[in-house]
Amino acid sequence: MADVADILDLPLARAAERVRAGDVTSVQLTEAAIARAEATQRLGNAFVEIFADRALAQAEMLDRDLRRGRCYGSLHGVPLAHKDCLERIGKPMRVGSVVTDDLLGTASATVLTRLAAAGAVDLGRLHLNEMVAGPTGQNPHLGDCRNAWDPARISGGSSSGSAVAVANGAVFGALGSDTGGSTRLPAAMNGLFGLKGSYGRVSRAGCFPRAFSLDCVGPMARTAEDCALLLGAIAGPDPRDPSTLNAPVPDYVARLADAADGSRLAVLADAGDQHPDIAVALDRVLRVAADIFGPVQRRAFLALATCYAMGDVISKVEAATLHGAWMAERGEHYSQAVFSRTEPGLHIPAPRYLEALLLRAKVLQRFLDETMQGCDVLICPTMPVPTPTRVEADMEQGERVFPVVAALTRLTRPFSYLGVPVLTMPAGLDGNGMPIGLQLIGRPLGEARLLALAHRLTPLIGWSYSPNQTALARAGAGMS
Amino acid sequence: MGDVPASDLAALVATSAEALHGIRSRTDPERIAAELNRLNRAVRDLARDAIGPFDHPGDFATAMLRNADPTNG
Repeated sequence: MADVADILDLPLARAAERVRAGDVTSVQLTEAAIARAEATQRLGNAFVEIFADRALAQAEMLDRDLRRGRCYGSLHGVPLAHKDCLERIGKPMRVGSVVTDDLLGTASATVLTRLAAAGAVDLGRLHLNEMVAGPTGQNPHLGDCRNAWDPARISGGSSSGSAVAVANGAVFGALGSDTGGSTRLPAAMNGLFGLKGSYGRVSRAGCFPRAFSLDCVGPMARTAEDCALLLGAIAGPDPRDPSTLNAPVPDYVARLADAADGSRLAVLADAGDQHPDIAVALDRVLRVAADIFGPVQRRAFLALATCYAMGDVISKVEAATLHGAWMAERGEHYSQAVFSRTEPGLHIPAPRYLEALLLRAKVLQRFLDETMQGCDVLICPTMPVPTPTRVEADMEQGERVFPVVAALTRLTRPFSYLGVPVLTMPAGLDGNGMPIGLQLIGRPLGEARLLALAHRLTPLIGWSYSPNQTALARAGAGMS
Repeated sequence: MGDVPASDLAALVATSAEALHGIRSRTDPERIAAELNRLNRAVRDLARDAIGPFDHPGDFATAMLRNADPTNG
């Protein structure tokens, strides 16, 4: 039998194969995952709570059922953990805040129920920005979540712990939520694949919202195939979330082989200023892609900044509506950053909010008819700047809240407004040795194509990543 | 149409948070005013000639399904 700690460094799909083959039990894998989660917690601070006993009991049950010939599904026996904004029956959910106290779940989030049905082990609650708001992974109540590649740099947020736990190898995959970049940014900053699916592709029932018109729950993992596995387990209509789309769910893993065939690619021509290291990484990927898929077109998207503003309006107004009572009664318990970002939503005229909602279908159609005309996937950086240090990004300095958010989310939020699927994939390292992420932006419900495209490009650009490459391992954090 | 002068908007913001929402502001009203002007202008300018009487927020979900990538089939 292989060393169990080594199996933690495998992609999710390979680890699941080992469990099904009997090479390792779910209990062994879960014990190793708990050990690594505890060993990496001091530097990464990814976990809010590790469900050690509960996870081991779940793993024992899964092992017992497997011995009896019952395999739950593609995730049987594999430990995952998730952002602490997802409800679990009888468990607290704090959303990174001291305002909510410990909200005890009365029903499990649909996505967690679906992962359990596919056999996944739930290892714990993961760090996040306060109230799922913020792109940095910094939280004055929980302490900073620190980047897996360099603890001096931000993890990204708001799904900070999801990215760091996966990048450190404590779990094979994690769910995050994304309103303006909150899955894509931490995934990119930690060298992972992260998917914001089409709006309505995945249920948000039981997911604490930032803005219900924009929120998307989605997976983060170390490979595109792993994201495909996780998406396949959670996607599809849900009566508990009426905004879910009534559309078929393809076999995303099977479609890795062919869904990208014949794809017509374009690069966003007017993405604005970007760091030279990021431009170099983008050009390299485009050259590789052109060898397979033909010339990559250059496409302008003139409404990029306007879409950013409309997404911002929706996010701020819906958040202010959700938080208004708490802000009135317990305002001093909010961090400065979240309070200041939410406050403008109290003052935005109601017609502006409704206009942003009313325009959404037309702006989407125009984006598809013009920018995406004759192309299937649009490519641009996930962030135009390198991953900042935790000092550089500290948003508790009041005057820095708006500029920090704008700098990090400039290229992610517009596509949240459009509702289209976006997959961030790693594309190399910058001069600081930090991962660079690129966004693959698709047509509605084009997740299969995006995952297949990333799956094909990844080996060709020479990207591979296992947790033992991380700064935490180099720092001797007791990874095994 | 121009922006509201920042100082006028800041004064309005400073009073309305408490008066309308019962919330004591913790943010420099000038900064909120700048955000409001930016966001208001961006949406208003696009919406002015683009919205008709029969537009509905539900059109968005319809557009998503109508434009689905064929690989989802």
